[in-house]
Amino acid sequence: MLRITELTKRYGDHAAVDSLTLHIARGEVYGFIGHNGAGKTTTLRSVAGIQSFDSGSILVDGTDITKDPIGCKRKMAYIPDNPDLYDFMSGAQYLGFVADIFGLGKEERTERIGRYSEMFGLTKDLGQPVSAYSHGMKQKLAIISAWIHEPGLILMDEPFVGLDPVASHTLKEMMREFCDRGGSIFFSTHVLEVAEKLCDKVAIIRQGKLIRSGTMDEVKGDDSLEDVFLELEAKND
Amino acid sequence: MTRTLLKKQFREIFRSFFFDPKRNAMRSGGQIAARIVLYAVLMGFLLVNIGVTLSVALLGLAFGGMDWLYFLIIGLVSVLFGAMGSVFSTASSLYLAKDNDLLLSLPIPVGSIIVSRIAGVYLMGLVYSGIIFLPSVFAYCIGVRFSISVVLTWLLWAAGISLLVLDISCLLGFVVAKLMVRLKNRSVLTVIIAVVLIGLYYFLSFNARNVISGLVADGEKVGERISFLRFFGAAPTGDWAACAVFVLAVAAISGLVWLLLRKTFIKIVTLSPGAKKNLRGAADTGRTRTVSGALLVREIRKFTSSAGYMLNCGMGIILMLIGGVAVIITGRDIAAALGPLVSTGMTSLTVMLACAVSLLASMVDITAPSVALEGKTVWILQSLPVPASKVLSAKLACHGLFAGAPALFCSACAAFSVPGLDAADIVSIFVLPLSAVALISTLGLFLGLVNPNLKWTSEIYPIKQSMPVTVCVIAGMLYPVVIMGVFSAFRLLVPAFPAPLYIGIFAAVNFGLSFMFYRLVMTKGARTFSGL
Repeated sequence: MLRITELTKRYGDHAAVDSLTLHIARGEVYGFIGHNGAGKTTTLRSVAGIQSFDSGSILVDGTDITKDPIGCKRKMAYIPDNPDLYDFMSGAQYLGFVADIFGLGKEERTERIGRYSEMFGLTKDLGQPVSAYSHGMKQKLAIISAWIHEPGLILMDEPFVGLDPVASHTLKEMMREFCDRGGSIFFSTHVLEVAEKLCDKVAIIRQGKLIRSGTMDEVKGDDSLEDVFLELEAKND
Repeated sequence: MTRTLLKKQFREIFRSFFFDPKRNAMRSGGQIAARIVLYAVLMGFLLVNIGVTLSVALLGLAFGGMDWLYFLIIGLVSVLFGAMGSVFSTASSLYLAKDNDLLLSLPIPVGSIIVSRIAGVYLMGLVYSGIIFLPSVFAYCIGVRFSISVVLTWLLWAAGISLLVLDISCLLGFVVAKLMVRLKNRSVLTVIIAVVLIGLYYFLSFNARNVISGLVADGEKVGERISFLRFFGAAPTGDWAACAVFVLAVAAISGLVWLLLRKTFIKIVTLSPGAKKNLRGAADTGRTRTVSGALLVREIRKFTSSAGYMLNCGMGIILMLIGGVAVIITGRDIAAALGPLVSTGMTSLTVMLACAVSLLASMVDITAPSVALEGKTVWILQSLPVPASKVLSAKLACHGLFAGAPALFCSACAAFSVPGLDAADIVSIFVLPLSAVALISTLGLFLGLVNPNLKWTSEIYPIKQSMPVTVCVIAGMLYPVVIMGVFSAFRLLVPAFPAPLYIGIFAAVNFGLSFMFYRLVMTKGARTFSGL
């Protein structure tokens, strides 16, 4: 579903992402972990088509993001680490806007928005302006907006930050169910316990370079993911 | 602490001079110098055209011994000019700044936060009121009399004026902020409040001439009856007693305003604006639109949800509606009044009407700050499957809708209410304003795509202080005046040159330039937007 090959992004002399290669197949929940500033957000933004990169290629379902960005964006959804949404819209208007962009019909949008907002307990707040939402509510709204058009690939940058335990649990279930139905999820997280339980595969990035990737068993073996991560960090210091 | 916050505030205000957001790096020395020179030229232009003209025009009062009246009128105009349009910008930068929560969470005294916020308001008021009051002392010292006392008292008076501007701005900003946090449906009611305030402002502005005439005619009587006005005017003339009274009065007013801000700041800031129920709720999701329709509605919502945006970039809409109604009522009188001027052959009623509507239409500059206003939400459009050209088209369509419809209304009112116009004249009165709308919308969007600042903490920075808005406002005001002036000069060479043909040539040039900017926006601009 997503094939990243030799991706490199530089800011001046500093390589934020350095020759990164990853392949995310259909049905996989793929975790992306690394220290702050490791290059996770840059990678996700490049895949989402909102940031240019210097070299390498990104294929979404076989389509090159640089050649057909609109086609790629139709197949995926992106949730940033800090979802700044339109303050001048209500939650319902925002979801309606996203539904319009993806050309969702009246019945399907009503059904999906109703279903997902119920799951996150956001139904009664949909009429409120986004400016009145808490961080967690904005995060829930961004998640719903990503799910309503049923993309093939969902990119998420720290999706659990700001969510209450119930919403966190709901999101994990949604992620698993989404991938079980053939979708793919590529997400970054610092919560290693979540990554360990949820992910089919995981990649560890350090200073822009991929230092380990594979199935959860391949990466961590008999240790915990936290132990492996700390060990790799220490080794590369 | 206050110094640190002030540094942060001023760094933000002047950020566009020094920092290039596109390259995420500091500008070169040459670029910084060019921007500063451009800004200085623009301000110098306003200073000469408004401030110097007013000072010289009123100097006769000082020659006639009514020095206090000379400074009183200058002072009142300075206060009006300085506080103009500051209602929503003050509310926005004081109470609705994005980093209020951050600053309140830090161990910073509330007073320091308020000081840093109002310092920006003060600076803006000082610049705009200074354009009016700065030349007054030079005109007075050169034309009437010079003494150290005059200069010293004028300095105190000028400081007092700038504080009065700040006081008025803060008071109005306080009222607006209080209203905003109480409104159930902000977008609609804010529009109404904005319209009422704009109407009130223009009512006062239009009556200012009568007030000034009245002051000139009965200055002594007014001065006797309202003694503060006399102190206000006499303060900068070297009259130390009047100066002391004026300074003390301003200090007292400023003290009261400070207490009010200090006491209410946290309460207003921590009330989430519009945190009331929107009755439509989930029903808003059910209506389907095309992609272009959804993007246009998004632009309209953005424009109508921000009072600051409407007030600063949509003032021409109200003026065109008011102007249209006014010309229906006074069309015959306008024709009669301009008759003698038209009969000289130096100008034409058609040119004057077409330029007048164009002037009002050019006061709508919705597209100019629209790219910068995307701010931190720009990721949404960039991550959605929408070509940047469609997003930019929606911005142009929004501008066209809000400026074009009232321009058509105003043109129709002018064309069919003023007698003596033939079919070609009528077409001219429609075509020139529409070409002005096309030009300002495409020019504004083109400029808006040149290094937009997306990292603002108050939307008032892109709306009021950005380069695209400044250029559009000045170009929009100057261009129709230039067209009228060139026509008069042209008539000297070719006395019988038909006005509709002349207007047609300029309209064609406008449409040609608009097409050029449109192409640039849709090609280079779209690429720039995608990479922001």
